[in-house]
Amino acid sequence: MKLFDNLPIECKARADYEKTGQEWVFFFKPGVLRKAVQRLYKDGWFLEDLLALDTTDGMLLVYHFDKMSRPGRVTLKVLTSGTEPKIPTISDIYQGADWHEREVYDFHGVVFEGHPNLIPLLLPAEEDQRIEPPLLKTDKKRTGLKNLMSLYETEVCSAAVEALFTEEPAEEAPAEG
Amino acid sequence: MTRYPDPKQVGGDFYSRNFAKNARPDTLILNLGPQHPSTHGVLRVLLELDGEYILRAEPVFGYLHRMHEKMGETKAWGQFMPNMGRVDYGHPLSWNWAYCGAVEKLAGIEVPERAEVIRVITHEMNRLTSHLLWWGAYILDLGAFTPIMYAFDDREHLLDLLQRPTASRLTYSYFRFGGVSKDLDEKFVEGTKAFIARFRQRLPMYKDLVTDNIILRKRVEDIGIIDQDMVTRYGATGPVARGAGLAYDLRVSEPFGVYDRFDFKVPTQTTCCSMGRYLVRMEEMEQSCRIIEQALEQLPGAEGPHLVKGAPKPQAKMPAGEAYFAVEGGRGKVGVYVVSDGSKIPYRVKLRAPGFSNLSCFAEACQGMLLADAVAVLGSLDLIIPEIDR
Amino acid sequence: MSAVKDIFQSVKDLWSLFVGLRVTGKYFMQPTLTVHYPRETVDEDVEQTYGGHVELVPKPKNPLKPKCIGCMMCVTNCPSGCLTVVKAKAPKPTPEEEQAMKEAEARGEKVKKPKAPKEPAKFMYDYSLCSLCGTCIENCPVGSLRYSNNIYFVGTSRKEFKLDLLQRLQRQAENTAKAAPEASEPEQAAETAKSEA
Repeated sequence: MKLFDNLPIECKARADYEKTGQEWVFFFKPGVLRKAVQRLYKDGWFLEDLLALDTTDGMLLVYHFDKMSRPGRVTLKVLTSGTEPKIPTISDIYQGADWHEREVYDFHGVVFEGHPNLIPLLLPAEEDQRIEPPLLKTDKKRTGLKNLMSLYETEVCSAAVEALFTEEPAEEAPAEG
Repeated sequence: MTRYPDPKQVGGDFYSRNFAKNARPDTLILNLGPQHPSTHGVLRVLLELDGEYILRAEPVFGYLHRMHEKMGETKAWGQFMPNMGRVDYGHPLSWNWAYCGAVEKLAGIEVPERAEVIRVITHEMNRLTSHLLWWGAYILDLGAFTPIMYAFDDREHLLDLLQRPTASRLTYSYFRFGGVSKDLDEKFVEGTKAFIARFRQRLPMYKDLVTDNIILRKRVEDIGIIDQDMVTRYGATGPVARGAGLAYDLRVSEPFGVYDRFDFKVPTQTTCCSMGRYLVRMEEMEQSCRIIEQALEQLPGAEGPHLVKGAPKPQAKMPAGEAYFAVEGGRGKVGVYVVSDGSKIPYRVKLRAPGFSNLSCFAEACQGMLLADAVAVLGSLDLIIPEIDR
Repeated sequence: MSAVKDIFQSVKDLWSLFVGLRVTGKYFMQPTLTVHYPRETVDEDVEQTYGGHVELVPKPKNPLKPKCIGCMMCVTNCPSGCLTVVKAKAPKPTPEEEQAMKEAEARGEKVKKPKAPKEPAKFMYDYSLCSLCGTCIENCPVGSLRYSNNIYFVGTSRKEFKLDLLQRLQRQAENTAKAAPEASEPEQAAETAKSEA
């Protein structure tokens, strides 16, 4: 997987496809996301879905990409602020992302900057009927990234991302996918 | 020139007003649905029309939204299973499989060989019911009433067979973590063999009755062009991708279960039009028959029980982690992504509905098309609204 | 040349309509396939395998009592919360027993309290909530639940779908006894009760 070479990758890790259904997992900064997605598009990948994950470390945006010509899945993960999640849109690169982004906006209140039509998709749209994003976790249920996923076999990894996944002095074993 | 419709005067709901903002002054805004019989439920399409021609379209949905993903975060792992039968009433077993597969990956549960073969048989039979439902309803959309009766005749036979192991006729909740809930009996096997033999003779009849019919051909050929580039940009899968000439079928390109054992073809069409997608589905029915026949042959030799020993109880805890599993449903790639924090309730369940991505092609595909053709294109995408709304 | 081709194509296209008409004509001559309810009912085989609402399985020796031991597995595992089971309470001790208990307590011995019978006092089921997933049936340790094959179950209000399964079981047993007084074998009685449901 040399697609993202000479892009500022936060983390590049090879995951076990048999166990997680993913082949490669990348962490990116929000600013680099669009460049990475453009490269995926040029290489013939298509967007499967995108979702947000509400954690104590912030809002994690997960993009799943797959290729029609061969099995394997590339996951892009972007961590944004938990209180005011904002991320650049990719709906001009992958038009299919338009609705997915609107859905994430509905469910988690993530604002996609530059989205041409960021209005509710599935939830009530009238101004007086709109509801709070329903999939945001309560403080009690919200948990850290390290309890939800592991970092897999990293090839490149910045200290910031690694810190998210390292345990404070041996509380419990790192989550295994 | 007075602008019609004047955005200030346009009534309607939020979406109508929002859509009218960008409308040209001399055009008409029309709501197709949500109660239109050919939108298969409650899809609503906002159309901007110049005479009979569509300038712009925007599907509006969410009328059937049930927030399955939230339900997933409030119920135990096993208790979420019945929801999977209700996401897509056309091909519920694919959702059953996708969710089971994701959890099995997460928890590392082995599925016995017999269970895998049973899964293939029932999954393919369910695909036949899904395609038959689509076929009947699609031709009904186009104005021909008779074919749906023929399709439902065959479909009823399949449902009678499928209700034996699953105890349901439409919203199956049959798969379990590590297998299926009930074994197949002798009568099911015999009945299925008899059905396949009968169905093989029915398929040419379908061809004579509908596929070769010149009225249908004139109606659906060369409309709703969705080419390979569009497929990639929108993430469309299933017959929509195969109708554009991409031989992308998860059963072959990312084999799950024991699909790699069977010999079947992935039908493709290069016309990219509604007829192409129609022909792909008709061919797929034949291929499904082939798979079922081979799987029935393998069934007696398949080892193991129908459910693995020590299969997790509905309230069991799952290890922390994440897993993605995708299967080829009747409409395309059905994906389930689960995240667990190690408790008995999922942390996040994401459902990737194929119809969602397929429908998003529509706005682009129908530009410049006649209004009457919009219905023919919507039908050819094989929409199941509950699946799109989730 | 192309004109000839066009004519040929037109004839072929026209012919496709006649082919379709031939198919419908052929099927028009065949007997009706639809079941004209209520003059006709579906095949017995289909009815027997139909998974209707959940019902209790009677004890093999006593068709009036369910196999249920009141363990609440079905209630805790039900995704829709459509089952309500009330466990049977311990029988009230008779005055003599009470006296004996008090004496035993006074002597400092272990008091022997009457145990609650392992059976449900109430087994309510709300069919309008049920998703027919079969979780209760699979998780019942004694196999006291099964799908009924009540295929023609209709009601005019929501109330009619709130079923008292114990009552239903008793009604079934009575019906069986009435219908087949000679069927003394309990297994046979249970079998007919199933088919009558």
